[in-house]
Amino acid sequence: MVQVSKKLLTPIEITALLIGIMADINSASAPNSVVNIAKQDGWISAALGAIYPLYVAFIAIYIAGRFPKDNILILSKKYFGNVIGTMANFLFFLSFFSYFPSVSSTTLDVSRTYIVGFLTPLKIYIVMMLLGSYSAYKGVKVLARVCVLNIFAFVAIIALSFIILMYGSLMNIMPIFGSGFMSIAKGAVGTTYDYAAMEIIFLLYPLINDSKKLKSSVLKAVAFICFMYTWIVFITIYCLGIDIIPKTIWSFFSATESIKIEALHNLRFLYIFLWILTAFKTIALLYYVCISILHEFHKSIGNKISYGVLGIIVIFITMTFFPDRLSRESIVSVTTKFSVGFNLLYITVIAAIIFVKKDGKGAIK
Amino acid sequence: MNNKHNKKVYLVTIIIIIIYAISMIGIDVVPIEEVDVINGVSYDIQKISPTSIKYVFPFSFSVFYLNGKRGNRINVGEGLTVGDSIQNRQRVMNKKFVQGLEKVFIISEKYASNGIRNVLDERARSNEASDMAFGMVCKGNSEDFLGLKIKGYPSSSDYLQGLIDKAQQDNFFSQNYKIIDIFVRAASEGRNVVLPYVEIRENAIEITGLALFKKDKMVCKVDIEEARLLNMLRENDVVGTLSLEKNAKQYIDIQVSSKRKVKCEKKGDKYSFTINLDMIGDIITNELYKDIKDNPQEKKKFENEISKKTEEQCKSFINKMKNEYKVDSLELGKKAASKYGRRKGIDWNEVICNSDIEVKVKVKVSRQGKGDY
Repeated sequence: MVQVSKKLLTPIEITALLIGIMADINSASAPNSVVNIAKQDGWISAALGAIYPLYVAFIAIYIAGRFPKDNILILSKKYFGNVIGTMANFLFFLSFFSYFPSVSSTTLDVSRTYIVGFLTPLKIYIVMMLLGSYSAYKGVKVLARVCVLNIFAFVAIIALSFIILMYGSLMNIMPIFGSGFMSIAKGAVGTTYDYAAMEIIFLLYPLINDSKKLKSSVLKAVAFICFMYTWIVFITIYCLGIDIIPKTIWSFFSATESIKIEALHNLRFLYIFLWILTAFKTIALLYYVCISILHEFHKSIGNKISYGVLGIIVIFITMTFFPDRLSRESIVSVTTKFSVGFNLLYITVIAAIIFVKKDGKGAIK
Repeated sequence: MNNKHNKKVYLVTIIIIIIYAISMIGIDVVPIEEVDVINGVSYDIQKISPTSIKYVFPFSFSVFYLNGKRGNRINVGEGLTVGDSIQNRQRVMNKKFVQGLEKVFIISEKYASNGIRNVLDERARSNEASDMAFGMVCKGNSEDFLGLKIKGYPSSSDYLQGLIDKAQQDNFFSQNYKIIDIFVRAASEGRNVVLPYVEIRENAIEITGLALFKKDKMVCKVDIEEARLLNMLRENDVVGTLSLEKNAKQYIDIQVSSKRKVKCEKKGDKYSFTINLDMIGDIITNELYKDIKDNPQEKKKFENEISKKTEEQCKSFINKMKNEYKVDSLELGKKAASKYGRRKGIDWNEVICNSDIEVKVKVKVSRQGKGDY
């Protein structure tokens, strides 16, 4: 019994895992995706975008309340039958898998631009996958602890960025609401990629040790990530202004360059250091999610060889189809629509069936 | 349990060694004596025919000798494009060069009037270049500035960095002349770049004014007197000295720190601005007001007179800026855009030059020093 309770996750670890999968390295360019449409009100768009994870969170809380011990893969087989259920689960796997190459290639871009420009892509990918597969192989408990540590990195990132307040001007975000409600709403759509992958909660909720605290820990994660993105977008617009952000690629890093500190030259290096750890952690998490969904199809997936094979497949896809940022963005704009659309449909339908059938624990028949 | 733990330690160690080995295949690591560290960059152009120009980029390198001493060398790259000149520069270099530690970048006046857009692009793109280097515009050839030997400094770039960095001690200069500041100012709506203008006088480099830019092109140079007024009207939280003199023997100086606030109003199509300058300072010397230490009236009289004088100077400068320079160096467009909406296709330089700009100066004496001799 001791062994089992050790493997279960505490509420804070659930929060950390959810924040961990949503906050990847791409959030450094989150301002770019909203500023083009929402202009100086981009930070409002970033806050509005949190509706998507919030919706996912409420569905998860509802389903977890009814079936605290079954994850979504089991539920879909139960309601859709074995064939359609398996197909739906495979699409669910694909929706996560679609983030995998894009996250790895973004990490590659950042590390090759800012840190190790002299290394070839293959070398960096091998290192990335080695780190990712090793930590994913260690299981979800280890990942959760890594994510808890990573929250400290986020807190450091946010706390240090308060220094930027000295360097910008409030005039850069004025006039507030100047770009109109429609553009703000349209800008919020641009943040879906950053808020995506919250659906991991449907795999995690059976693992929590105290299911009463699931609600608070999920909502805490949404609140944290919403605040973090809003702050990043706000501080970047505040520092650089809306005319400069489209000229940069990772605008948040550019904003941190204005902070001058002794010995380190500027804060950028510290930020990249913290952020690259975040990126490796996201890769490990995606690794874990992909393997654990595939494990449902065939019990042999989950051994050491399957980790290696998945890594090789991801490296192959990334190097063939994601050679640079432009091709990545054109693919991602399509795959994100598919992933988000399918996931929302999938969880909504399952929640609706549970609601109509009045199934599960605590249902009023 | 112990055996299992040992296994884990070995595995992690082996993974780390593999990662390091993979990363280091095919990469040559060289000692510091084998690299040239760029400490200053400069940009210049030459006209080779009426229609075409040639880029000339002198770079200043720190050279490290085996005995631990440090020298300085200048290399010049010439070419028809920026990349071409960098390529040509490598032909006269015998070492690997390292960017990222450059302290200054000097743009010649000719280059600046031609537009600094390609410089900014090259700097923004480079992942190695430092964004904290100080920018300045120089008179004549930029190579002379980098090559100038200044006593007590290993290279002229070290001296120039201090020159621009510490200019904020007086003359109302700000510190916003770094590359990252220029990026932000050159492309934002309603903002314009201003850079210190340096000259060589009697074998020493000094700041002799400011270079005003319209977007990325230099428009004109103002001398140090006007530069002080411009800085005062443009920057917030800067330090400078004001003086009031009746004749060569009767004068009073006060060192103030100034706070700037801008108000903007729009009536119809016409904009009007009010710049409020609140200055608080300490008297440095006083040979004019005899009783200023003890008499509140006398102090008030001085405060009024110096405020009035500064206000008039500011007004005459603004008139000159509106009619002669025709550029909005005071960043008033930024304020108007933040109040009345952005991205409407308004040319703020033109709008500001045709609007009313009011200046209100309030000088206050806070300290008078240890005594009044």
